[in-house]
Amino acid sequence: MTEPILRLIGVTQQYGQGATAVSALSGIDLELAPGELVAIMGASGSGKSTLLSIAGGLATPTTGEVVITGTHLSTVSASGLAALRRRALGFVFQDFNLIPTLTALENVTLPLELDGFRTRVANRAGRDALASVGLDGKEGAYPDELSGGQQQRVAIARAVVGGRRLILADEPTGALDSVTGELVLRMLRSRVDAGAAALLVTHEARHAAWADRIVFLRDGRIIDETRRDGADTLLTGSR
Amino acid sequence: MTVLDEAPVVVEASESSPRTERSRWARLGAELRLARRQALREKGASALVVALVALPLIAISAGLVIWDSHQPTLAHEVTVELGQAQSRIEIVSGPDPTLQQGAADPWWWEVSRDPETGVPVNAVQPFRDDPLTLLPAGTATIEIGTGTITAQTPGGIGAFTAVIGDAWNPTLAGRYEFLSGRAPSGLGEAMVSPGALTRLGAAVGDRIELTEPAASFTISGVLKIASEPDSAPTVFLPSTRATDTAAEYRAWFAPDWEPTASELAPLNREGVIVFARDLMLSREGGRSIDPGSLWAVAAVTAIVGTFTAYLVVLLAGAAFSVSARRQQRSLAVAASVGAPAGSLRRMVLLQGTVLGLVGGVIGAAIGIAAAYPVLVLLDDGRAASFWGFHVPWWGIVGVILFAVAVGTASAFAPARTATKRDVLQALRGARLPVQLRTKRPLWGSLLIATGLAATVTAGLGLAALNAAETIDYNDPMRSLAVAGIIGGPLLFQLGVILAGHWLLTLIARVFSRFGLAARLAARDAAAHPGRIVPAFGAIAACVFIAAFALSAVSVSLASAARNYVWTAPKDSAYVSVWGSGTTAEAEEVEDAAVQAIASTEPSSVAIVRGEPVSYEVVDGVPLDDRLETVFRAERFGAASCFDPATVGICLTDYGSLIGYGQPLRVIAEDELPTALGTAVPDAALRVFRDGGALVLPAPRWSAGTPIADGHVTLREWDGEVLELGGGDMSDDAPVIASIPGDTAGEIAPLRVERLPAAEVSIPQLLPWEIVISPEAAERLGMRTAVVTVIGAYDAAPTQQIIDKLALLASGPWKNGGFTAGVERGPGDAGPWLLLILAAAGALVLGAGSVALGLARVERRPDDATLTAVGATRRLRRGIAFWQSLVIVGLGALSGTIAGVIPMIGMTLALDDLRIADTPWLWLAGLALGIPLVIAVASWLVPPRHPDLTRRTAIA
Repeated sequence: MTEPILRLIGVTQQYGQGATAVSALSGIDLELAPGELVAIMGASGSGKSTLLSIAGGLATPTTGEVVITGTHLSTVSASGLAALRRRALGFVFQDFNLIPTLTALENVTLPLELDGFRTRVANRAGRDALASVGLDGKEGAYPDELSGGQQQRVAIARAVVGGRRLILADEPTGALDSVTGELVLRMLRSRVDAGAAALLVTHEARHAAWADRIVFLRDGRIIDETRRDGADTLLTGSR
Repeated sequence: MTVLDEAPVVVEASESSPRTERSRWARLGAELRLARRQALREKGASALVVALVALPLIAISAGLVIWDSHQPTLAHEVTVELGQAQSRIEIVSGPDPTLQQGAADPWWWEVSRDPETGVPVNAVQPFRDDPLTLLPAGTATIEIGTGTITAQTPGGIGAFTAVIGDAWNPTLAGRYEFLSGRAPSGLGEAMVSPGALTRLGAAVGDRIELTEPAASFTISGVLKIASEPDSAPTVFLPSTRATDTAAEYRAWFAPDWEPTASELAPLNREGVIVFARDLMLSREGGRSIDPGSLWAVAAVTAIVGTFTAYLVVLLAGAAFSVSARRQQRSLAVAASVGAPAGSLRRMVLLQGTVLGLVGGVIGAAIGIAAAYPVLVLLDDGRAASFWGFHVPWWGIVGVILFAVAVGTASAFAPARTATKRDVLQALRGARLPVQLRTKRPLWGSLLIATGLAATVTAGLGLAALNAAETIDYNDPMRSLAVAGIIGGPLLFQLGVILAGHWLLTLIARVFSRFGLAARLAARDAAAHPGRIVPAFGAIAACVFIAAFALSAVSVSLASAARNYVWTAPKDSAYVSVWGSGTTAEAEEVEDAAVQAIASTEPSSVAIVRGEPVSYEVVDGVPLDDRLETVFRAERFGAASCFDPATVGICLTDYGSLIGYGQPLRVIAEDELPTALGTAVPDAALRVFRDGGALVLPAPRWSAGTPIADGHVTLREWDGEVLELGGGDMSDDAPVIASIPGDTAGEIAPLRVERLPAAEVSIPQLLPWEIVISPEAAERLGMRTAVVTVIGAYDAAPTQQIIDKLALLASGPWKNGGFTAGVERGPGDAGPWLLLILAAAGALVLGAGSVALGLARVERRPDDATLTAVGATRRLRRGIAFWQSLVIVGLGALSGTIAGVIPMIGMTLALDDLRIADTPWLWLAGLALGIPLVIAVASWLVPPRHPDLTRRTAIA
């Protein structure tokens, strides 16, 4: 059996203490294998974004364990987590979160350069990544010179550059029109089909339809989970 | 389980994944790029940081250039001494085989002397007339004499420096500067300096009439001594039989000859020294920069640099705090793609480095450029006032490095904070208030208390050390106490900064009760300590210096005023006669002194007489100035007068302490108001008329009183005997001359007289303690001479009167004369206090503007929200008002307290200083007035209308 890229084991996240304690996530168990796109759906406040943050090591769970490519995050130092984010996983945010003072290429190569790669080498990889999302010729453009869709494609290129194989996408189409959103999802799908794994947080069923598996969250718990075969049925409400 | 720290690669490389060719500099390059771009993007904050760094550096760089331009090079030194000549030969002694000069330091020479007596070992030989026979045959020389002449001026006769000889010879160009006109073409022409032209009231082509020696010349041109200012009155005369008599000193300049080092010795043995060009230019160590000057510049630069660095780090730190907050999303993005904490820190820190470098280069460039006009303005014509435009590049490089360090340091705290932000919150653009940390108030409070306690304890400790019977100025406890007085307020300020966030939170709680505007302003301040605390820290530092300066100036001037010994009552003109009484010229000098005051047409005149002191010179030897006989008043009530070891008599020796020979003065009754500056009460006047004495206030440090049972006891002593017995001055009572009891018989007074006495209160401390009438003096048989002549006027004496008296004082007497002046009284603190307050106001205004400007920028999203929910412009003005009051008020208040603390310590330590002299009103103006003025100004300038169409919170 293929080693999962991401494993969440009994993850719980709680804010506050005592009577004011709020449980954001409760006993989440989840695995992502290479080549698998998993969509997380749920109402606002159901814990989708918290789950994504914990999966990416941006937040530490109250209890439970997160394992990325065999590495238990609880055993990793802050600098180790940073190294993991540079080498193993990439984020795609709803607001793109590109650094406005860097060009598209510089945004994409940032994780590589932070990892110590020579600029020449990083640029070569960055250009390849941008080409793979159809942005040849846009290397020197600043984010505010790009459309929303183009910015999000730059974000995807940044998420995968350097051979990173875990993509964590938080409503990546939320700020895009439907056509552009479809394009971005197609791109995400193609990266997954090429061997990466992706966790996609969305609240739109048609976007979740791109996933191999859909996980439903409510009040911090997984209430349902379905594979692609049954997804169409589920999303049309016949289930 | 795998433990990942930094290195392991956890995913397989794809085709495009480069896992080789790493460089240790690549990360730094990316960080620097981001830092540079972010600094460029945050234009406002960056410009502010650059300006804050550059402003003090303009002053420091300009100061360094101005200082260096006042330092001569070796070539400069040689040119000013020699002009274009090769050497200068001088006769400084008669032949002496032990005479030697410094070859490369020709101003220094010496002969062997008896170590005990200081008398030359070899008999003093007559000086030779000239050195020409000692020089190689055929050596050409130019002889130049220097002395003093007098000449007719529009106001009378004036003294001038005379340079006699061929000073306009091109060989001496550089030593003498040719300014205009032409060189004399014959013995009837002379040149003069610009200062002499003014003094003579003449122009080129006019005649100059010399009175001593008697001669007349036509002014052919303007020349000056290069090392003298333009204003120096110098006359350049041709060498004639008449003018040569005025030459007191002569030197010979050789255009083509100079000795080698080995040739100097035989010349020295003949009493001749030589300033030789090549020996000077080859001097070891080169340029002669005065080490004292170098240290002074280094010390001033260090003090100014430290203070400005402190201010800039705080203010620029506040700007960086705002700027870093606006970059928090970019930094969070960097963190999300794997930037470690160190990288995030460097991304902010390097912005400080970049901006510090830019500020340093700009500041240094402007400072260098600004130095030139300042140098031109300061140039008074002396070569030493502007040797040339010298830029000390080593210093400028240091200044730029200093700027880089300051810029980097100012970004340190924001950089540290940037790594502690919640990445998720930052990515969402959330602005969360800072949590109050309890540790800081603890440390801050501790430092505040320690600072206060250290100063007060140190002040009391120093007072105790000063009160000790034997004061040991090298006692380490003394240094510790001084360090406590200085260090206490610094600890206090540090404590206020550390406890700043806590203080802001407290203020926010209190201000919440003062209405919506106060509540919002105070809570905004409490929510942004990174910006507010450095700002009020900078304001506190400025105010601290100002408060200390205000207190120190006021307290020390008040102390000086209490102990100021007046020469005459306020706004009176006076002439003080010296060498009168026993000299041949005495009567002439006294008459001239009285006439001098009379010629200024005063409303009244007082002639103050005292026992005469001789300074007569016979055959060039000053006579002993000992008095033949002298009256001394007995003194009562001082502890040492009853010391068993000094049984007998304590005598007033008041005058020896304040520069006058005698405490006893003789003044006519009708001249008393002019001499004392006030009318004498009738009761005292009756005592005076009856032959009694008026006793005036004595300095605070004098012990005892000359009055006992309503009388003063005057004893007449033989001058020689008094010197013998009165030499024993007591440390405890320095105004007491004690006559030891066991020698009292041998040195008995010639006479003892008791006079009825009355104490008189006058508005100032005069240099006399006991005043009697001329009739009483005559009855005592006291010899008197004019000591001081005082003129009173209806209005304060004009500059014209002062100039006239100064001119009359330069009389022809050799063994006596008088000095003249106007008594203005001790310095008034008022103008100084105003100047300090104005300077502090300007600094606080600058620092406050930076802080308030940053606050307004950061408040824009909140302003937009407020406007959106219907807040009025008045509310936003109110917030600006309260925000100013919080930031400037807190800084001004804590700075004022910190500034007053050391003065309290010093008043505790030193008797001379009184805490009652602290300028409380001025300090109130500093602590409360300035914040209020700035708050009102802030209210008057409303915040910009908020932009409701786009988000301005996070970049």
